[in-house]
Amino acid sequence: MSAVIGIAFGNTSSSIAVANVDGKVDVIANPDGDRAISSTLSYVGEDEYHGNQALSQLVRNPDSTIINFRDFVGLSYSEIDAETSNHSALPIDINGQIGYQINDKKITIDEVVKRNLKQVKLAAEDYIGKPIEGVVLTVPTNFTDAQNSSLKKISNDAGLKVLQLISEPSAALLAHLSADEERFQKDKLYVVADFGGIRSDAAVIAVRSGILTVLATAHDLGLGGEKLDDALAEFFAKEFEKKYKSNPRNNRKAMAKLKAACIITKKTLSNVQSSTISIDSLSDGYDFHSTINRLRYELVTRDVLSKMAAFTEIVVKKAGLETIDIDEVLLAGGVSHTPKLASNIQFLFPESTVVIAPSLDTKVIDPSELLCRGAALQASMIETFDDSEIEEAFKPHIVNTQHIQKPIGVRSVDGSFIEILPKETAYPIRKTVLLKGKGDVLIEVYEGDRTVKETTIEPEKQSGDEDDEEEYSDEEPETIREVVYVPGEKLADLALKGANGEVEVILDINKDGKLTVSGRSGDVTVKGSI
Amino acid sequence: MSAVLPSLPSGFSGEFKGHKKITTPLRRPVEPVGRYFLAHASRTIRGHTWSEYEK
Ligand SMILES: Nc1ncnc2c1ncn2[C@@H]1O[C@H](COP(=O)(O)OP(=O)(O)OP(=O)(O)O)[C@@H](O)[C@H]1O
Ligand SMILES: [Mg+2]
Repeated sequence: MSAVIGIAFGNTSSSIAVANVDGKVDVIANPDGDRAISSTLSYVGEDEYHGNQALSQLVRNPDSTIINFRDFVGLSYSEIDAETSNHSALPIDINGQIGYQINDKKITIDEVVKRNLKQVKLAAEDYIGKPIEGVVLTVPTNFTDAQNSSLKKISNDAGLKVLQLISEPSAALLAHLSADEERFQKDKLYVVADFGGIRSDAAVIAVRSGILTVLATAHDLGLGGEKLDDALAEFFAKEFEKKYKSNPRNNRKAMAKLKAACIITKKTLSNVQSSTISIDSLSDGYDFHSTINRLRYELVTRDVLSKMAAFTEIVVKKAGLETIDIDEVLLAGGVSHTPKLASNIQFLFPESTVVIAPSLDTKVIDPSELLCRGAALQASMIETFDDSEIEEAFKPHIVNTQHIQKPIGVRSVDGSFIEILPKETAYPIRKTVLLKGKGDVLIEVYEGDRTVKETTIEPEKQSGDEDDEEEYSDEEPETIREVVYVPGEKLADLALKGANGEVEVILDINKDGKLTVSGRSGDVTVKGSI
Repeated sequence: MSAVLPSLPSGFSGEFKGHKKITTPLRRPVEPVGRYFLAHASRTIRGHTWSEYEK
């Protein structure tokens, strides 16, 4: 087993993974058996608690329990909204830095993050059985350079040497693509939508010849699983109040208990159709016992779930695209277990777009584990490079690359456009396709123009029974829209004489943007450049 | 079921005709992840050609 690991450090949970020699990835559980380890620290007397043990202190010791601190990394106190943690320790200003007052001691955000990472390191070393030599950490795409360098420094101080920071959506997509080598070979446009505890993030990513390019990103820092917990807690609070004429909302401890129970109920409803909730002495000494089914839960949380689904459309628009341009939507983050969220998203995209979520396909990678798995894969890939090589590889002149803005391909005899290099392909690039052609043939190289083909499907009529037809007359015919590229501007013509039935066409764009077209059939080879 | 190339028009002379350069490209960062990126990086750093890489 490798001694380099991947860590997804979220505001809600941290998860760790390690890649084995055979390319398989293990997600590491901490000694408590948790794979999603709460990013929480709690101080009770002289003791420090971490993870889910710390999270359970929110009921008894909210003021000395620190949650949702990841996004504070590298920021100063004036840059944050301290109201975000009103049911836990509140961030305070320590000489301009963000920190917390725990009992009578002050602790800075850097120290909090460091302690969280140290615990994560311990869990990983406990599992692997040797010291961790390096780590790839995931970060949101809107982390600033200052935040990135601050996180690196803190991680190094915690004894976790950072090999690389990679973006969360790319980590998720890397894990998904690596699960099946064929996926990497296929040029596709993805939306990666990540629904976490307190935020939602999305990115449109082009995969071209195995290279990933982010075309657009979107962030909603006020939309996440906690909003679902709040909606459910309010629903149960109402029920409780009606039953016992006692209001739990004014009681901080009661609400903490209720919310903790709601989180469990919410997760349960991702797997089964109904769930019970049970809280001893919730408020004024009354116990609370109730059940809720999935349908009711989906009604209670309808607004939040609709907003999350709509969020995936926003990022597509930001990329200057339509939903019909997207091949696959990869759902990441804990909330992506929610069946209704996946089906809402499926509804917004055309049938041709594949939505990847556990409720739609049981074989997909757990969305809670996509990020750490991708980070672990990346860590194992760069493990053998030395520091200077790694540093060189991530320099701007390597990473900043030209991308073609229109697809390039050839025209077939029926006038259609055969795409060879899709738009947003980074170059230098070389790609070969095999076409049919016999005798003297013409290879016409075109850029493709995007068109939208509309097909109207009349509603199905009830067969045989004419009397019923009236009832169906209000059904609208359905229009299916799809993107079709057609030959636009011609770039070049290449004549190939004496083709034997199969013609290999090779497009090569060098780093200076020079396009070379080659045709080969049997031992006849022709080529030209523009 | 691959596409079929048109036959060479009778009046076509010569072998290659370039008509237009590719549309202005856009420079933006690629994500530095995955083995295809690492291959891209080492090609660029070491100045490897495609044929060297394909060996
Ligand atoms: N099976 C499940 N069904 C529904 N929700 C779940 C499930 N598992 C986890 N969640 C929810 O997912 C959220 C946490 O997701 P995740 O671990 O991806 O967040 P994070 O990345 O740490 O946080 P953030 O993205 O806000 O920084 C929580 O609200 C949690 O309750
Ligand atoms: Mg997250």
